[in-house]
This record gives sequence, C-alpha cells and structure tokens, in this order.
Amino acid sequence: MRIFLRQAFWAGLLLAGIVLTPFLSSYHLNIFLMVGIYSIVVMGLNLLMGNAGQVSLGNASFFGIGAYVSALLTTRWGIDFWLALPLAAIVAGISGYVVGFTAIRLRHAYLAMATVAFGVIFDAVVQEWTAITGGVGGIGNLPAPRLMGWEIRSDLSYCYLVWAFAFLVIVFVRNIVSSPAGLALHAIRENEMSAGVTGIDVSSYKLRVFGLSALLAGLAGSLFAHHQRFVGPGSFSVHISLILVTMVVVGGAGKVMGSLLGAAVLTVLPDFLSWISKLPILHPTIRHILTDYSYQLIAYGMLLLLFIFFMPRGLAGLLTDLGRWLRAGEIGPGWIPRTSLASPSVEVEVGNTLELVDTGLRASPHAPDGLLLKVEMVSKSFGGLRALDSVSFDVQRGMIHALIGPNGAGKTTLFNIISGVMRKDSGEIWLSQQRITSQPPHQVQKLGIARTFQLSQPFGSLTVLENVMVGCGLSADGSFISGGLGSRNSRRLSASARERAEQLLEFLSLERWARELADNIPPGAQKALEIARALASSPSLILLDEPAAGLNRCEKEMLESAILKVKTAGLTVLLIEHDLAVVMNLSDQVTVLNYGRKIAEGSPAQVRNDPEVISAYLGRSYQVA
Amino acid sequence: MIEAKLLQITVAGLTTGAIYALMALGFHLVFVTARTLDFAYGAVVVMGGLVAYSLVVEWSLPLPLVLILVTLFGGAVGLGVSTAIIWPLRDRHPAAQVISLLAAGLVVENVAAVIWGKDSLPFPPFTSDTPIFILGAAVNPQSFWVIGLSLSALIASNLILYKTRLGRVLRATANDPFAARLMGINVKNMYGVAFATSLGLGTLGGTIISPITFAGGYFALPLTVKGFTASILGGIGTPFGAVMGGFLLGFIEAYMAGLITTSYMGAISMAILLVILLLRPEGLFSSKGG
Repeated sequence: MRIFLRQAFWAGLLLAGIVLTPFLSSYHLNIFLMVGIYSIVVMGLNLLMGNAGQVSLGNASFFGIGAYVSALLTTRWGIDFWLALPLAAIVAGISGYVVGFTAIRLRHAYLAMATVAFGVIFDAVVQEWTAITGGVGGIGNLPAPRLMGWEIRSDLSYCYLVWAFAFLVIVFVRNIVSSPAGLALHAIRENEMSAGVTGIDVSSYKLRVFGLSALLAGLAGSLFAHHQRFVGPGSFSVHISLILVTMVVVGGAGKVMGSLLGAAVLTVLPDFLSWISKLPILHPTIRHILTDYSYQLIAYGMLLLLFIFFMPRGLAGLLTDLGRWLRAGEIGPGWIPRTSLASPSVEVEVGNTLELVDTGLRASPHAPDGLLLKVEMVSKSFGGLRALDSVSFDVQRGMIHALIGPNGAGKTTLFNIISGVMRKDSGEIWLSQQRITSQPPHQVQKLGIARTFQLSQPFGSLTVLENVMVGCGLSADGSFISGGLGSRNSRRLSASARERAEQLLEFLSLERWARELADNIPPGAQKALEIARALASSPSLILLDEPAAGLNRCEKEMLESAILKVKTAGLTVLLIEHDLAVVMNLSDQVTVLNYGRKIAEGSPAQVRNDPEVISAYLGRSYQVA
Repeated sequence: MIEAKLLQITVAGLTTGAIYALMALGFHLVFVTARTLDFAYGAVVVMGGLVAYSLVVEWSLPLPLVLILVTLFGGAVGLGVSTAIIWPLRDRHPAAQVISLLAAGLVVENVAAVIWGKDSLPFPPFTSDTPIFILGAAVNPQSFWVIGLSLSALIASNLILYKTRLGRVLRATANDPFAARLMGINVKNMYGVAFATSLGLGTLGGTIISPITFAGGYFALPLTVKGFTASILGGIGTPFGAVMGGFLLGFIEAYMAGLITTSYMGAISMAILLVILLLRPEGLFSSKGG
C-alpha cells in the first residue's frame, strides 16, 4: 500500500509536469529547466554527501568540466551533441574518480579542504588556459541538440529534454539508495572503521561514489552548456559548489526528494525575491537588499546554519514527517508497526536452521589439523611506547581462546593488527596457512575473520536489522550500475541477506529491536548486535573485544551461552575479557599479555596459578604467596 | 643585480610568510583542541583588515590601539564561533561542523561586502611607503612592520602556550579532552580560548598586511585554504611545524612569482596542498606517528 502510494505520487508528479509545462511562460520555463539541471547535479552531490558522508566543494568544477568538454567537442571538432554528452559525463566522472583518491587518505574537514583546492585549481585553469577555454571570454556558439532531424532549440523542448534526463537520474539514484550499494554508503557515513571490518571495501566505494557524483555533474554540465549555448568561468566557481552544498542540506541529505526540493527552492529563491522587490509598496532599501548578490549569499549562509542546527533532515525530512502524520491520522491509533507482524509464538530451533559457519571454510583441505590462527613475532610501537613486543601464539580450531592481561597490555592493539585496522611494525599473521599480515580490513574479513569493538561501533542510523544485513556481505562491493538499474540480482541478494539477518537476531535474542535504529537500543543490546553483525559473514574466527564489559549478570549469562553456542556451531573464538569469571568459565586456552609481552599461556587452571600472572595482576609482593 | 632581485623576493616571501605563519598557528590551535579546521578563517582575516581600515581612516584612532582592538575583535568572533557553532555540534557528524563553518564564513564575507563594498580599500602604511634600499633592493618599509609584529605575536603565543598555566591547560585539552575533563578542565572554555587566539592572530595578520595588499576585496575561501596549506606543509600537529610551514609557503609563492610566472598564482598553493596531503599529511617538520 505504501509502495503503491509512493509510486502513485511520483507518477502524478511526472504527469503534472508533462501536462503543465507548456503553459509556463518562457521566463518560468527557464527557471524550471534550471531546476532540472541543478537537480541532476545535486542528486549526485547528495549521494556523495548525504549518503556516503563525504563533503565535496568540488562538484561545481565537475559540472564545469562537463560543460567545457561538451562545448569543446561540439564547437572545435564538430562532434554531435548526442556523442558529446556521454563523453562529457565520462570525462567528468573520471576526474571525480581521480579526486576520489584524496578521499581514501583524507576524512571530513581535510577532504573538504582538498576539494576546495581542486575547485580553485579548476577556476585558475579555466581563466588562465585561454587557448583551450577561451579564458574569461569563454566558448560561444554551441549547437543546439538535434533529435531525429529536429532541432531542440525552444525552451519548451529543451525543458522536456532536461527533465527526461532528470527523471532517469531520479529512478537510477533512488534504486541505488535502496540497493546493497546504498546500504554500504550509509554504513561508511556512519562509521568507516566498522564498515571496513564488516567487509565493505571502503576505498573502492569512495572512489566510485566520487566518480558517479562527478559523472552526474558532468551530464548536467553538458545539458547546461547546450542550453546557454555558451560556457564561461562564472557558473562553476567554488561559490557555486557552496550553493550546491546548501541545496543538499536545505533539501534533505540522503534523500532524492531532498535533492529535488533543494535544487528547486534555491534556484527559484533569487527570482522569487526579485519578483517581490518589484512590489511598489516596498522601501527602496529593502528592494535593494532583496536583489543584491551579497545579501543573497548571507541568506544562503543563514539558511545553511538554520537547517544544520534546527532541521538537519531538511525539507524532505519535514515532508516525511508530514506524510507520516497524515497517514497515522488515516489509519488511526490502532495501527500496528510492521515489527510485530511476524508471529512471535513460533519457536524456532536456532541450532538447526542457522548455518553459522561456512561449511566450505570448515572443510578447507589446506589447513593442518587444529591450527587456525598463527601470530608470529608481532611488534608495534607508538612513538616511544612499545605496545606489542614480539608476541607469538597459536589459536587452535574450534577453541575459545582468551587473551587477558592488565590495562595497556596490548590486547586491543593486537586485535587491531589482526583485523587490518592498524599496521604492524614487524611480524607475521597467518590464517590457516594463508598470510594475512597488512591486508585491508575488508580483505581480512573476507578471509574469514570477523570482530567486535570494545566500545560498540554500530552503524547508528541504520536499523538493527540493516546493521546485520551489512554484515552478511551483500554490500561488500555492490555495483552502482546493477543497484541503480534495480536489477533482480541485487534484490535477491537483499532478500536472502534479510532472511539470514533475521535468523541471527533471533539467535542473539535481538529480534524485538530489529526495526529500531542501532543508536537507540540499550548498550547491552548494542554489544549483542555487534556479535550478530560479526557472525553474519560466516567467519571461521571471531574476535570479541571485551564483550562482557558493562553488562549486568543476567546479560553476561546470556552472552556466555551465546558464545558457547557459537563454539558448538564450529567457530573459533578469540576473546579479550577482563571479567575473569567469564574467561575461566568459557575458555579452553588462555594467553596472558603484560606490557606488550606474552608472559604465560595454557589452560585456565594453569594460568590462574602462574606466579608471573598473579604478580602482573596483583603486584610483586603477592608473588611469595 | 640578480642578488638585489633575490633579496627583494626573499623579503617579499618573508612578509607574506609571516602572515601565513600567523594563520597556520591559528589552524594548529583549533585543530589540536577542537579537532576541526576553521573554514571561516579567511573571511574573518579579511574582515579584520576592513575593521582596522575603518578604525584608522574613518575614526582616526592611533595605530597601537587599532592593533589591540582588531585583535580583540578577532578574539570575540572566535569566542562566538566556538560557543555558537563548534560546541553545540561537537557530537554530530563531523560534516555538520565543516558545513556550518563554511556557512559562517560565507555570512562574514558577505556582511563585510555589504558594509565595505566589494572593492579593496587602500590602507595607509604604518610609517611611510617610500621604499628603503638595501644592497640595491627596494624594500617596502611595511614589510619590516609585518615581519616584526608577526614575530612578536608568534613569540608571545609561544610563551603563553608553554610558560603559563592557561597554556598548559590548553595543551592538556589538546592531548586528551576526556582526561582533561576528568582533571576538572572546562573543555568548552578551552575551545573558546583556542578559537579566540586563532582568530585574534588572524585579524591581526589581516590588518598588518593590509597596507601592502589593501583591505578587503578578496575571496575568503582560497585564503582559508592557503592558511591551512601553510599549517599542513610544516605539520599542523605542532606549533613549530605550523609556523615553519607558513614561512615556507611564503617563500615558495614569492620565488614562483618572482622567478617563474605570476599566472596560476592562485593555483600554486592549492597544488602544494594536494601533493602534501597525499604524500605527507603529517607535514615536513614533524616526526611520523606520535
């Protein structure tokens, strides 16, 4: 019903557009057309900024690259518009991909600075490289596109052309947002480190989303150029990039509807203000303020601040709330959320239905009997501090292996190195005879190691169910193209991941939180959620970093039984834990670290009576006892 | 003759470098405490020059008073930015701070454009504008003012940072905000101190350079990026690195312009920024890690 309503809404909007456009005056047609062009740019930027969380102040430059490439191809080499358009988009896309390389190393504010730098360089090149770009004079006399022998010259026909493209982009981007790739972008925005250890290839996604965002900007740039029939430097400056960012924020980050609203409001605003300024009752000063560019930019700045502080979900968020409110009124207070539709009375025998371990991995022929993880002489220093000093130990297959030691012993550092979040200084790590040292996190995860964090790092604004779905690996390297085209394969993947995620939530007694945002559930449940997310990838080894910290006794008991169930299912567990009761109850083997060195190893009973362990925990004077 | 030219270029590099050094130190202070980059910086620096212009030309206030007032003005703006934007947004996605600072910069820049117009205004030199000839090189006396005053400001900041209790508290906050809080340090106030000092240095720099570059009439965002480039070039993590980066950037720009070409001037520091960000983001003058 909801989906139908939504489709009816979009179809109605489309129909209204087609029917009403011819009645617009040429002036309004022009505005409507520009809204279409900016919508395309903003949808691209929104994918990058709203969905993936990467602020770019270079998108006006990509827009410009599209415009200039298209202008050069058609005027210099006489290439047809229909060939120039895709070429322009591709050139812009490639430059976006290249700029994306900065995003792999840089985050947030640094990345934003780098994109400003790119924008300023683009401005300088456009103005200085006059032989190609025509400098301030620009390039004129662009041909109008021809379609089947008919020239698209009038504003009306060009308007249809622009909106035809805009409509395709809307469908494409909407599909991406709801595809596995969209889920991955969202996860990256929420928490890059978690995304990596959950199997998402963060670098590849960043490059591709930069490329796609630039490609859309380039497409719009070409459309813009052939509408103006002229390109010059003014339309692509860093200021314009800032206005594009404003469109995203005002419209609504992460929402396609938001891109359209943002583009519409900020394109119409200046014209609307200048229309108001013509009202005869106004004082000349106010009239001046309404039309002055500086005042306009002040207004944009204020709008940005206003929306960031008071309406971070933008106009689209407002619209969603309004829709929800209307619908709630229609359905009445007895409306049951979809969460509780699944009948809770059916008992599911978890052990039978849930395949925790990938059988292929378990039966791996290369592995010698028993040995799964081999840590060999791993060292790591931070400045002068030696966090790990030539640590070696083996983890046997099917065991629960505990890693204990006082604070600062280097346990979490070791986890970070095993899972690829951090680089070692020296040493090697092997997973069933495969060398995994210094692999990126998503690669380590793919080889069969999943992990949780000491302080839970869920994807806060994804639902609990979606968190686990990300872990199922469907988003590992989801294609934007198959996602954007809404391919059957990508939908099938989502469905099977959802099924598996639901089973895992049940396994860890999380099913009642399934549709809550991960940020909103209690800390104990967040810890369990991380374990579910880690299990989702069918790892052969799971690293648990202080899973019992902060849990009450009842939660601890549930956790212990869950870990034992995981072991029974055939997984190997490497566990960091301070609660020695938990360690003694669960583990088969214990390794003790102190000040970065291994000081003892053995069964829980052996370790408990080891004099060096006792003195590490209780101080030297207890050694005598 | 070539020596004279080189000397002239070196003084020019030292002059702009001094301003970049002030800005770079400002970036450093804000970065280590609030873990963010101040995208409104350039706009406030430009506005500082314009405020000083009005105080000097229209109000005819004595120069030392103007320098103090304009530094205080920058400090006040910094305090405002920190309390109104940075602190309330500290737990949001980092992009929210970046965009808000960009927005604040846009507002400041255009408020300045509304008040003082969009053209640059001639700022009277502090003493005279008759060039002084040293070894055949013509040097603008204002350069000495810029270099002298900047160095004094840098030394004063360094003394505050390393010799006073306030400086110690500020460095403690930079080192570990959480632990600092447990020690009873008001982290919110430290954000304020960092932003105020940073923008105070900026407006002072914007004022003393104005007789050479004129006040206003500037696109602020590239100036922001230049200040950041300076800090990242030397190393934004330490005050020494940031300041050295400032002078280095000044020299690079001056030698490029003096010996090679002045076109693409705006793009040079941007290209340097991209290269340094990708190859050595911890800066030239700081050790890796730590």
